[in-house]
Amino acid sequence: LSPGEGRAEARRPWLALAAGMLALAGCATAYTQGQADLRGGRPAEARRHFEAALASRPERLDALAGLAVAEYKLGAFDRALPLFERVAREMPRSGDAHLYLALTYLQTRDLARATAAMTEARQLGLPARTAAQIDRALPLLEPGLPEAVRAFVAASLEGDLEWAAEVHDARTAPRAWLEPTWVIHSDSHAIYRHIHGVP
Amino acid sequence: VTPAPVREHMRPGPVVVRADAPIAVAVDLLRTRKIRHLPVVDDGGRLVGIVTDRDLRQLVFDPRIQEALGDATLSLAGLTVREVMTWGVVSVRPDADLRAAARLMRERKIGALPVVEDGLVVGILTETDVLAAFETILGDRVTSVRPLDAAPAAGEPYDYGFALRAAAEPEANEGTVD
Repeated sequence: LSPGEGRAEARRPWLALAAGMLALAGCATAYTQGQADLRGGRPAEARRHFEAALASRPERLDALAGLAVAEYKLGAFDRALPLFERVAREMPRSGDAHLYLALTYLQTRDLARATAAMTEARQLGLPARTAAQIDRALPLLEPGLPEAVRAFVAASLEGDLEWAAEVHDARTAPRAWLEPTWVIHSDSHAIYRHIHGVP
Repeated sequence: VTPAPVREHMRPGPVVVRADAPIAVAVDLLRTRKIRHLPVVDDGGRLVGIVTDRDLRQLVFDPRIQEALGDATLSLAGLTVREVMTWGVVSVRPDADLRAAARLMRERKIGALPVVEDGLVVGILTETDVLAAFETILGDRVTSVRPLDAAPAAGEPYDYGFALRAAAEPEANEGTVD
């Protein structure tokens, strides 16, 4: 090998590793962008990003769940339904997945399956407020349910899921943004100084 | 669904906060009363806005708001409710039809509607109230409450995703209007 060829040969494994990392980063970016779009109320963009993430790694359940939520928010309940059914099947302990599945059944007027999925969700780990709202909603899901009530129950529980997601995001946000004990403050450095007694 | 006036299903005399109160007072009221929506009134008890736990969460966590605040030494504790509340709040009258109120809440994605009469806040209608009202109105069609294994934890404070406590007691700004 000439010196130039030798250097190229030596670079090959690193280039392969870099390409692999870029591919992984690309997938993570698409998923993250999808999440951000969902949070920002842009379900069409979210769908595109989740589909891109799934094109790279079809086995990603989180991207699949994101795609299902995006389809739901776009009103494409027939597309959301099989996605939520798969997510709920593969994540049997996810209260969110079962509740979204219940809401999708509710949107397709399948009250029996909606009741079953909602009851299942109620047994799983949901915030106390959401669980209480399910308790209020479940008795209403009877044959002959008026359209106004059905639509309100679906919207209300969807709002609860969004609220719970927001609270979760806030709770897991960088601790620097939290005030120490009794004061709300915008300056994380000041908070650090306050906590650690730095003048 | 039989028409029913909001008055019969709202919660009368809701907790309100004055617009000139520090936001820490609003935070404390939300936490201690386990509520998410706080109507904001002026000195005369007239509705001028609403502040929610979402408003406060955004205030604390949204980097764009943090950036907009600019001055790194500015303390949010110095802000008043007026500066963070939503103006132009949607409200209903006590004699409004519950179905219309429910439709308004669903279409506008509003979690609670202040009920206003002659400019004064006389009640609040939340999603919980509407669900309870539907159960009452549907009457016989609702057969029973299904037995469930787990009950929501009673008496536990809501987790709003932030842990803020007021430096001052809220009694001077707390009140009900009816």
